[in-house]
Amino acid sequence: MTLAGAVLIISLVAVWLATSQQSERTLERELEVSERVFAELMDVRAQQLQQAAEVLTTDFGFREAVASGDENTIISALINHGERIGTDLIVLQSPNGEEIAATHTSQLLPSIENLTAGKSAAQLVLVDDEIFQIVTVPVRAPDLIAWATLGFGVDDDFAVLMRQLTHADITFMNRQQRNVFASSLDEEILAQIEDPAIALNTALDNLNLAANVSGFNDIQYALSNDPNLVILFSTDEFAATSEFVTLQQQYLVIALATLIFAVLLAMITARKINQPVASLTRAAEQLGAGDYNQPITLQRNDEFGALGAAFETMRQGISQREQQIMYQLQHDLLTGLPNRVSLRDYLSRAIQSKQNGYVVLLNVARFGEVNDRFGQQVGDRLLQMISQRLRDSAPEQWWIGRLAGDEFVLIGEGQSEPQTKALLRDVEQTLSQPWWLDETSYLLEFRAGYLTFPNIGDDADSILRRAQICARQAKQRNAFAVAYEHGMDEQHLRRLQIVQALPSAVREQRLQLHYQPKVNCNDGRILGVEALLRWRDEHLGVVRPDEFIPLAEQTGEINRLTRWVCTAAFDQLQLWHEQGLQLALAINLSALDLQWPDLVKFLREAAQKRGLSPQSITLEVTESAVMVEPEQAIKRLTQLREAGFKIAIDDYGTGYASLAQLKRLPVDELKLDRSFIQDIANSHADLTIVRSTLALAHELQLTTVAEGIEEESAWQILQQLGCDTVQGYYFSRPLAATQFEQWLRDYQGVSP
Amino acid sequence: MTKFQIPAVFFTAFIAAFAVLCSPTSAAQAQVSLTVTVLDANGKPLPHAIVSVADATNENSIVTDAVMDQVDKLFSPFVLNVSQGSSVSFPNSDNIRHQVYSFSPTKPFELPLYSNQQAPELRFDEPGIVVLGCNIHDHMKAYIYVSPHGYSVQTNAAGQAELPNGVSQFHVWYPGLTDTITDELVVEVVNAETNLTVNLPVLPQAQNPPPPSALQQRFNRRKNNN
Repeated sequence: MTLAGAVLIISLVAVWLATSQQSERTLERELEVSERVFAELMDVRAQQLQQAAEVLTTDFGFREAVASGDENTIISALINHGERIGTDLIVLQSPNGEEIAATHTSQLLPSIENLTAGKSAAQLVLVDDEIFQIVTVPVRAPDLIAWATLGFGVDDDFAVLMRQLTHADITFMNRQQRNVFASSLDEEILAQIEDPAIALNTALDNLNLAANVSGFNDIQYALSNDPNLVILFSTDEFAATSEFVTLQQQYLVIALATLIFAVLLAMITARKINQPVASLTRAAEQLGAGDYNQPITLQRNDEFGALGAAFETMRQGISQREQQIMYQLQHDLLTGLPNRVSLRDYLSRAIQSKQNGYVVLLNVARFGEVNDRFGQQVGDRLLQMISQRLRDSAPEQWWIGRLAGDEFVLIGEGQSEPQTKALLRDVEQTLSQPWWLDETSYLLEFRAGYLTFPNIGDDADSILRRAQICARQAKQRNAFAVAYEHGMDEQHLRRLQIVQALPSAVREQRLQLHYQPKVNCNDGRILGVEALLRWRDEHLGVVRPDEFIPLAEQTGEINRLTRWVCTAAFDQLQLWHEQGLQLALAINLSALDLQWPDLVKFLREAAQKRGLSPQSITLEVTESAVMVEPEQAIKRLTQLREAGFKIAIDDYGTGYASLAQLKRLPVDELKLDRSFIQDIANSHADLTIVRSTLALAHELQLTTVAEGIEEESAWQILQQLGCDTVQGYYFSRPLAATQFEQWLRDYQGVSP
Repeated sequence: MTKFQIPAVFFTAFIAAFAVLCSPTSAAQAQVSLTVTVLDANGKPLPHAIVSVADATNENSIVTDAVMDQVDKLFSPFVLNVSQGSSVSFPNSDNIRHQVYSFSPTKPFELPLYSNQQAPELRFDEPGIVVLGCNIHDHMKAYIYVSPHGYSVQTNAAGQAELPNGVSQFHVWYPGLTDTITDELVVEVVNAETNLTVNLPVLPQAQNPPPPSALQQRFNRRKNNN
């Protein structure tokens, strides 16, 4: 459409320019033609005049009159004969040029020589402000008796006649003086042409006249040499170009008509083609943008209709597939329950809706074992059954999803705690029913954690994580369900951080060893020190051994930790021995250390390398550590004892070690747990236990150590009970090596 | 310069018959004279017309002193009525020369250019019409009526002419009456009327000197300036 318009305008301009140029050229050409025609006409007229003049001068009466020499007669004859041929100027001259009779003075004419030299040509002269075409013919009787010069006025009538023949206005004028001698133009126009105040060209332009100017000389008839005498050939530009203007107007009309036609055609085309194409394009864009809900309807019977129908089929297909994909994206294909993705979406929406509610996480305990033992297929079918039972038992207010392989989540928006507990009861009841599959009964255990939102958790991830913590807690507590308690996940988080930080702490030796003195119960002498791990982390603060040791055991970090502790403590002991401080050293070993085959070798070499006697080193093992793998522990402890190390049972009294087992242990020392000592001054039961334990130990020839001495009274009681060694805050808390040395100097200074 | 062919035969039959019908046969000779009034096509009196009677005679029919003068580049008179055998002198009253000629069969002649010093004479022996012109003044024109009849008179300014008594038939001529210069209208006099009016289908003619032409004015001016 735009293209058509542009082409039209371009062609219009082209035609306009072409016709304008053509009209100008045509004007010029016409003027040139006019000029030539004029010259031709002048020539023809000259010949006619010549003939007429000759006829006249050969008339006998005329010759007789001239020959008479009588002036009046001559004039009379000249008038009479001149009138016959309508001459306007007659000059009769003697053969030598003397004027015989004349209407105009012969001095105004060129010389007779010039006049007669022109042969038969008629020539233009300006005489008394009039233009004449003159011929000079001889008057013979039969010899030359006179020259008759006959002039024919070139006047307005002549100019008008010439205009009719040449199609151009003809003006004879003096260009310089701006006076017109004869012209076919109207007087008003002439007035402007004659106006000396305006330049000639300007005047012509103002008058819209196209003009050619020729000097008299140019048309070869002039005898005058005055270059200002000119003949102006002019034509009205409007009149001359009117045909072209008409052509241009016609073309304009045609162009407009074409344009209108093109617009109409474009509109029809738009209706026929563009509109359906546009609507199909819109539809395709909608599909591209993922909007599959708008049906594509194109009520047409043509190809566009077919295309529209194909689009619609495509839309439905894509829509279905998208729904399928979305379903798969949002659902667990095994159980048909919403999956983790939709679970988080749902939970996030529920949280954002500011509604209170409960989240219950259900974990299938040891489901991995079921899978391993009975195969994935059985596991999958059991999961399907579990999900079906959940669906059946949970009220419809509860939204059910599958979080992970063995984890299901129920979300109850707007549910209260009693409702949640009721749900848990129902669920527990349902799940405790036997699991029959292919005539086989499977034993499945479930743990649940639950918490309310948004009070406790305000994002889906933390809520689910806390629910998982609760479920894990339930497992530890051997309960079906545990509600979230404050701090639960903080402890969990701290443990995770400790696990993360521990390896680097060991590697970078950010752990420290502190030493607590072991004191002879009887005289208060310092016997040695127990090396205790201290860990101050810049983010976690002080991390106590009972926090990180179990984690180190779980992660396998304990072995490296033990080696570091041993190395560092042996180094310190070596240093002290070199300083003359004959101290004994006690080191704690983990249960896992006892399972390390190279433990004995490592300790022995470490001691030897530093020149330390194994006798000065006591290895403390907790009662419960020994109880994990008693046979292994006994074997390892035996090897250690054989290597010369002393063995102590730490925290004695808290575990379940039987006396029989104790008897079998290769032990040198018993350390009574601080829980019996701290309150010994007031608790008769503790006192009894301690007393009997000490008695038993002595019977078994074991030395005894009591920890947790915080008051002098406790020390005194233990002295009375015959305990061998004591340690506790009453004497000193664990101190760094240099502090301990200072403390030792102070202590020995007070009580030598 | 137009040249005239003048037929030598009189043509009267048709007009005569017309006139006869109009006038009953009259008594032979009447003593009472007849006054003929000639009117032109507009009913105006027509001077210079020639009224002739064939069988009458003019008492002074031979005119020897007839003059065709040239005054102010005009012939004078315009129509000269002479009887057969008359001589006519052609004086020149102008200060310019004239060259008089005639191509009429009655008397073709050409008088070479002559001045007012001369007055050539010519004798006209044949009856007929002699048309005069001047070779260097085209507007000059005159007629010499060399009467073929016994009696011819010219109408006066009132267009009237007196005819002798007892005329039973008379002829009327005027330049340009028909295409043939010599044709005459023949009128029968039936009831011896004393007054007869003849209507001629002509307009009065004269020499028409051209208005002073631009050429002439130029010459005059030049001449006066010199």
